[in-house]
Amino acid sequence: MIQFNQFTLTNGLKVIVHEDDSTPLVTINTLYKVGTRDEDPNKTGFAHLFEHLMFGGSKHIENFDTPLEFAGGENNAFTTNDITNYYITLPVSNLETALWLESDRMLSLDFSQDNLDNQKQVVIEEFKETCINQPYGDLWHHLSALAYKVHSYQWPTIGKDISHIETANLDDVKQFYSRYYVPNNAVIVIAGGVQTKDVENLVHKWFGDIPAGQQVLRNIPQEPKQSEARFLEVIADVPVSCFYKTYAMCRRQDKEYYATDILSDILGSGDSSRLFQKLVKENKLCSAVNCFVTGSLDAGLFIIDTKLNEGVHYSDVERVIQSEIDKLIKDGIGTRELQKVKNQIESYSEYNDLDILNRATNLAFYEYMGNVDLINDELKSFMEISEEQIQEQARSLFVKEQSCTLFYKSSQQNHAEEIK
Amino acid sequence: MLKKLNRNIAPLVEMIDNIMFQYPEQQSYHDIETYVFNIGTNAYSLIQFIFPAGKIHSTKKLVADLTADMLLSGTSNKTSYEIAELLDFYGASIESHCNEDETTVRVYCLSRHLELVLDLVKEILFDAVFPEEEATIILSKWKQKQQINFQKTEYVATRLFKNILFGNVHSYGNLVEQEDFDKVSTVDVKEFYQQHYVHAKYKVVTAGCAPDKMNALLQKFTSDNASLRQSQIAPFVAALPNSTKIHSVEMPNVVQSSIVIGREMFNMHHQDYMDFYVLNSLLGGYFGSRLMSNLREDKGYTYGVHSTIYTRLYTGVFEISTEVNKENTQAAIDEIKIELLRLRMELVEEEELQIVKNYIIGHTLRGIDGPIKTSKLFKTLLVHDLNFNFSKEFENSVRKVSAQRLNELANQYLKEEDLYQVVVG
Repeated sequence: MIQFNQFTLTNGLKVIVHEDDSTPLVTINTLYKVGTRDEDPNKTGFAHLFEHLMFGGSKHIENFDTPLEFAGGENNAFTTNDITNYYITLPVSNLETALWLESDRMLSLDFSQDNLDNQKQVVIEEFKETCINQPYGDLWHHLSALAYKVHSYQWPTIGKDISHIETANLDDVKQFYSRYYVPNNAVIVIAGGVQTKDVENLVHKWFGDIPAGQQVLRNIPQEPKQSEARFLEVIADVPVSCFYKTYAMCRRQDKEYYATDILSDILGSGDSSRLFQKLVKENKLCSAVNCFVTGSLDAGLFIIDTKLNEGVHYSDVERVIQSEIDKLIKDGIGTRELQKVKNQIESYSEYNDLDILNRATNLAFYEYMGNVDLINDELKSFMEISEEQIQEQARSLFVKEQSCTLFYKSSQQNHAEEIK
Repeated sequence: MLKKLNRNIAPLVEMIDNIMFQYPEQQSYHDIETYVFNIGTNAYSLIQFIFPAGKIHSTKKLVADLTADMLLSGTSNKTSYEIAELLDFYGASIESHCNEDETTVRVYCLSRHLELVLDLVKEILFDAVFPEEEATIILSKWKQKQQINFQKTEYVATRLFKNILFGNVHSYGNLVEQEDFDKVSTVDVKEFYQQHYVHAKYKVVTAGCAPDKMNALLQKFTSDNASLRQSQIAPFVAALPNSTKIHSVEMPNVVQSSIVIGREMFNMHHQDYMDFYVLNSLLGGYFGSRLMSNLREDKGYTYGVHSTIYTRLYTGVFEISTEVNKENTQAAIDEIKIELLRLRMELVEEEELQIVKNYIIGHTLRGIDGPIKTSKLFKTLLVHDLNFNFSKEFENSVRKVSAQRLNELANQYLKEEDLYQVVVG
């Protein structure tokens, strides 16, 4: 059971405090409700670029990292489809240093052309390092664009194209900041060896005078129901062919999420899963299989990801996947198999909770989802799923017309080049 | 009503003046050393087994790796599927890491399933059968993975760098090639297993489960060991570094180059290790380091640049590594050299030194936050025959080290002519 207290400042900043006196550290997790889905189709990659800019100093603090390191702290951030999340961990005696830093960049980020130019360059290098210089680096560009035709999930977090980052200007940046980086669009979680009373005073002191922004109204065009199966073949200079299958699924906050997530575990999570046994062990068609759900706040994807063995045609893999899906729909699953997946989920959840940063990040995300109590209640929702619900979910999820198939084909003949 | 805040003034920083390292309870059951931590809630457990079964323990390439990877591939009584199904059913997971110097097998599970899981673990660790068919699947997967890695500049560069420092014969320097995947046999694996698992003096580090219960389980676990012998490492040859210091490999169709610069160094037992760790942090060991400030924050050449000191049982490696846009390769190398030279020519300012010291103290605290991190750190120390006394000494030496001392170390160890350089791209 994770205990927490919460309060809201008059400017709308939501604050959650989780006391854990077993640690001499404190984590400050600040979630801004802005992610890839909020981007303009002509300015993609912006949420992530902005994440970089948040480290460029603020009006009263020239450099973000140096004072934090001086206080024994470490920090980082990540951007997803839905959120931009910043976290700091430092000795609890220096909590105020973190609040000073975090509040100043919420109040008044320092926009300079130099900092923007430099961080654009860093992000462009990141784009090259992760998407161009890596085999399969453009996979998510293809897969997202295949599965989403309307919704802004159609491009990955890093952005659709480097040119969007290259052309970002100061005006864009300022506008983005004043729209999304406001206290009423943020959740801050403070977790560790702290007392709520002390935290409350410090948060009021440093965040209390930050003016609220306009309410963020989202009007993201939602993906219409897909009516025809889609297929794409990509040929690339990679040594191994890959085969992907996606099915349109519900949102993270929908009740169908639990059964859908369990289905992904049954099919392809772990060595005893159905597809691993069939494709890797029995038929030796693949070297790796993985199933997962995207769990996004707008409608997500159920993804089957496989790496093909040499000489294997993807249609054979597709046939096995289809026959396993048919079997699930027709015969459902056994009691032990469902219990197995539930045990895995419980174990993973306990493990995850050992880390204070995970607890802090999850509290912030559940708050954004609309119910912070889920941090304690969600496991129960998984445990209550029945065999019938799983079968029912399989029936409504695995619909051919709502699937996408991506064959990422290797152009190399037999083996990769040897490098001496 | 709030007073007007002066945001220009930083809040006072108070550094912790004494890190509390919590020691495990040490026992010896049937000749096996066990270390049991009692930290945090007891609901979830991590058990780490350290076997003298690293790459240095085998004369043949991939044998140690394959043995570690095949532990879950079947026992006299169970198929790989039955093992996987049971582990998944208990929500447990087992990972084996074959490192240069040892193999660590980690078991994660809910404490309430621990007893049943340990029965299975015992079977896996001492009664594995290594079916040929399973070996074939794993090897073909690895071979494929290496083909993919050969297209990554970073992989090619770090691999070549190791080889240049140690030579082809040395255990730390000899490289796995594509044809090696076809040469490993399960006969070698079975022999290695007998010697380095079944009859080996392994060590156990645990955290999570209540100590009374844990100790009882460990006593039972070790009660019917086979006869134990001291494990031998393969004959150790001296490093044979390459006579050329500068190497480059051209790769077509890549947009970035990987740069690795460094040298053979020393391990945690060396008298200069602790102070050099501070010097390394200053140079490239944290976000605010000189290399990161220069190459990333100032020039925008790279997404990241790091310097590290890796410690091995018999030596250590100092390594600076980064990925940069191809056109900036030479400029980046020049800047790295300038930063190395600055460390030798100028004393670091007190303020910067204090930042790096505080950062390392904070980092050390984060490294022992909670049962999992604490026991993992302890395991690393144990492989080197060290314990938290080392960490305490490290903490004290970080607090003490002077700018003068760092400058001396830079002049002793970071001379340009002593460093090797690899560029791939």
